[in-house]
This record gives sequence, structure tokens and C-alpha cells, in this order.
Amino acid sequence: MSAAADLDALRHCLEGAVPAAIATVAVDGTPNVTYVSQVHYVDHAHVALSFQFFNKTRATVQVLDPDTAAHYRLSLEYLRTETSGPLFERMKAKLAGIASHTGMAKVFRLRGADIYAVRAIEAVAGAWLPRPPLARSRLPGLRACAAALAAGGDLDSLFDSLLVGLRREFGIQYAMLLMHDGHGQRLYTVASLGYPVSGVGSEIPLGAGVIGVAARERTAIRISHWTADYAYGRALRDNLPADALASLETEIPFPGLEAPGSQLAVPILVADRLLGVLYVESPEDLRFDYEDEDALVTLAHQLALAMRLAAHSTEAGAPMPADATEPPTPARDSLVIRRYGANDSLFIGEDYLIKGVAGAILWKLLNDHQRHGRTEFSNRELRLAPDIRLPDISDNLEARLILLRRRLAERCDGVALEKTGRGRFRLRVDRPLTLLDMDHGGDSGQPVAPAR
Amino acid sequence: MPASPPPDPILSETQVAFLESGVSINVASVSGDGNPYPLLARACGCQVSADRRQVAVLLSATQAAALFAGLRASGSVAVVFNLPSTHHSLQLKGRDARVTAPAADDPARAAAYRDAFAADLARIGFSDAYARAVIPPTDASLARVVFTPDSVFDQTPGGNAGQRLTRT
Repeated sequence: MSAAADLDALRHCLEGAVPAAIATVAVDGTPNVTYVSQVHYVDHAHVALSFQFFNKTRATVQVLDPDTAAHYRLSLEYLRTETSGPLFERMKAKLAGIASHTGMAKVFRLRGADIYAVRAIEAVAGAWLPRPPLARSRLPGLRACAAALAAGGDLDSLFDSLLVGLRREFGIQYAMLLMHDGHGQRLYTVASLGYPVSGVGSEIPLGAGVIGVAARERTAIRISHWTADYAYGRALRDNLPADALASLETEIPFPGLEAPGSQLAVPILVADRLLGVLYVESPEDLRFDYEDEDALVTLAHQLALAMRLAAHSTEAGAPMPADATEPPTPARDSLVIRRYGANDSLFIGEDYLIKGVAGAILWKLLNDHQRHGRTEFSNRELRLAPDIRLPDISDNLEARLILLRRRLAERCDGVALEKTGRGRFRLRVDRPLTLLDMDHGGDSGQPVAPAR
Repeated sequence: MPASPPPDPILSETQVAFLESGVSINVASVSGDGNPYPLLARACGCQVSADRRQVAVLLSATQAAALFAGLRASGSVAVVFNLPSTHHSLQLKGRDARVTAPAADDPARAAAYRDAFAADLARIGFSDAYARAVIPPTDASLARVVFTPDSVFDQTPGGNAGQRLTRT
């Protein structure tokens, strides 16, 4: 094996399971040899090593196959060092997992990513172990999931199709889809798979943990061992600046596993615009490999295109139907809904429901219903409504409506949103409502029977 | 470089015990073609002379053919010893390396080394079969590289990595 292009065949040797030896030549011509904690695959002809102080113009690293123990020697030529950016963040996250796993959490810190061209690969002769049976190819699963996405549909069905496909085709048990907020500083959960509570509506600040870093750097981040450095817990929120924390959704808990052994976050990108992040995790170590990463990155691209297509077709529907005449509602207790204008937060009785843009949308719908008896609405009118203050013309209103619909289904007995067609939906109110705007003394609303 | 060996051996008894235990051993040299390129191969055991002045490491000539050519041309050698379970690492350097035939007891030494290496890797979760496969075969290709260490470096990951150690 001598062609650098064969590096693709050795990616599984570059997961950091076994430390690699590295030999270099000092300026005076003498050899130097040590171990390097990470040899990172960049592409078929390049690797990156954690920053080294010694003369590194040329290096030979010896990596081991984690299954067969086969040794490979890579002849490298140093190109440059990066200290920030996607590659750096990918290596930093992976190294945090390796460091934690090997008891070196306080020691292994990535100072820089030294990038090398691979000039030659030598397969060392030896009595290696037989290669275990090939792991199931990820390509048929990728094909099935891509076909489901290509079938199209609205955002709701795209999200469900992808999560169901990940479980069926890839055996993935825990997954989340998060959308990028129009303001650009956070991601909000719109769908999830496998958790006791869906966590729909929970938020992650840009740059926080595996998901936040994948979003900020627009690159896949994969960690194969649990590490405190990327954990989603109190520490993460404690480290946020106060202004970032103030606007963050903290009432809805993030649904993720407490101590995932493996995490993979993949940005959902279209034409360099970040739409969101697909996140999968597992209690097992080393659950996701390069092949899984390839498959999920590809699916995220497919999802991005399907989302773009759905957005174009969403608001081109037929004329608005007349507000529906609802069947008589059985007499039930009145539902008290409070609104606090500072952050558009809504409470159902004593229980927090939602805030922010989704809160503003629901408040408008409830008021239109209460004052005018309206039940039928369109995405387009919400987009144009001055009282909602959508953060950005490109904000994904459809995704916010999904979030709102799911949050209502989980948390509010008596009020629901139902899709009625492309870009249209119905507000269903099954109980008398009392709307209290706490910014106006909480006295603006009167108990009102459902519209008839 | 002094003309005669230093009055005290550069290696302590504790260090010798470490070098001769089940540590991972990798040997480096440079190609002797005027365009020095680093060469590297894994060893399968180590013996330090009774006076602690000479170090011999065992390698497979099949796996280390290029390294041996470099050693014969330059005599320059660097060897790193690393205990996987603790990350404790030492690097020795020398300038007088030569490749010799194995000693009569080297196959037994290599076999004992392989046992010790597998025992350490078992502590961090590697299977016995995997650990044994990592070590070069102790067959007819077994050879030894002998050198006089003239410097010792701490290679344990952390703030002191790469520091030269001196005997006090």
C-alpha cells in the first residue's frame, strides 16, 4: 500500500483507540520518538495531529488497527497548524472523549491541529488477527432514509420520517432534531426519538456542547466516550453569559441522556445557511463511527433540501376556508392562560407552556379566537402579523408551529393546533378560555365560551 | 560528547526495571540518504546490561528492515518506552546503535515480555489475543539493537513531556 488515497481504508485505525507512535528528525539530524494521542483523518490525503513542539517538518506515525492489531506507517509532511475552526473543534471534541476515557482529562488539551500531507502508507508485515466480519454496510440504510425524505411532505412528516428511519435503518435509539433560531444564537428542539419526555421546545445556545459547537462551526462533531467537557447539565448553563441565559428557554428541560458514551451532531445546511442540527447519542462508547458520520451528514443534506422544497410549496395553497362551525362543546372547566409580555411566556394554569416567538404566535391565535371567533389561520398572515415580531424573514415559521403544536399536545388539555392544508391550520378550543395579559394587570380577559 | 563513559550510568535502577517491564517499545532512527526521514518500528523486549550502560532492544528484522538500514548508516537511535495503563513514558537516545544477532535467551525474553505487555493491556480493557498480536513475532527474524544511552527524556504526557532527565 503506498498511495496516499488508501487513507480512506484506514479511517477505523484513526479513532484514537490505541495511541500512535510518532518519529521525527530534530534539526541536528537525530531521531525523536514519542506517542501522540490523536491521529485525525482530514481527508483521503491528509491527517491532523495534536500540536507538537518538536521539529515536525517530516514525521512517521505508526497507527494500529483496533480489530486486527495490524500496524501501518504513514509518512507525513507538515503543512500548517490551525488553532480554531471546524477541524480544530472536531479534534478538540474527539480528544476530550479520548482524554476522559484514558484518565487524562486534565492533561490532554488541544493546543493546535498540526496538518500533514500523507506521502506514503506502509502496511507492516506481521501475524495480525483475522479481520472480524464486516459491520453491516450503512449504504442500504442511507438509501432507504434518503428515499423517504425524497418522497417529500411537510416539515412535520419530514422530521418524523427521518427519526423513524434512523431507528429502523441504523438502530439509533436516541435522536433529536433542533432548528436554528432566526436570531442565530440558539437552537430549539422540534422533534426527538427515544426519550421519556420529548423535550420539544428546549434550547441549546450556539457553541454549547456537541450540538452547539456543530452548529457554530457548521461541521459534524463526534465523540466516542463520555466527557464532562461537552456534557449538557447545570455546568453548561452556569458558564453562559447572563444576557444569553436570560433569553434562553430554561423551563423546558433538555431531553438528552445524562452520560452519553457516544454523541454525534451534524449540521443541517443548505447553501451555507444553517437550518438546524441532527443529533444522535447512545449510552454505549464507540457507538458511531466514520461510516455513521458519513451517512448522517448525507441525510442532513437531504433533509435540508427537502425542507427548502417544503418551504417553497407551503404557502401556495388554496384560498382560506371559512372558519369552521365546531360541534357543541361539552361544558368543562375554564382554562386560564396567562401571558407575560417581557418574553412572551404563556402559562396554562400554573404550568409553564412556552415563550418567545411560539408564545407570541399562540397569544395572537387565542386572542383572534376570543375576539373574532376565528379558528382558521394561515402561515402567511402570521408571517405578516406585526404583533408576533418574527426575528427574521427567513425564520422557519413552519418549524415553530410544529414546536407549538407538539408542546400543546403534551402540555395543554383543551387547546390544539391541527394542520388543515399547505400553510394552513386550525385552532381547536375545547374548553372555555380566560386569557389574562399580566402586562395589563391581568384583567383584560373575560371568560369566553368557545366560538360556535 | 565525552570521550569516555560518564562516571555514573545514566539510567537508575528504577528506570531499568521500567524499561525491562511490559512497556510498549518503539524504536526510531533516520534514513541515511542525506535527506533524513524518520524511521520507526515496534520492539518486543528490552535488556539493560548489568552495569546499566548498554541497552538492547529486540525487533523483528522483517518489520524493521528500513529502520535497520537507517541505524547501520547513522548509528542514531531514539527509543520510547510507555506503560499503557499509566501513560508513564521515557525516551532514550544514543548515537552508537548497531544491529546484532539475538542472544541465546532473547526468544525467551521476548516471550516473557509479550506476557507482561498483555497483562498491562488487560488492565485497560484490551483482550489478551489483541495485546499479543500487537507484539512483533519472535521467530527467525528476531534481532537486537544495542546502544549506549546518552540522554533520557520524560515523555509522560503533561507539563514535563520532552524534558531531559539528569541523574542527581
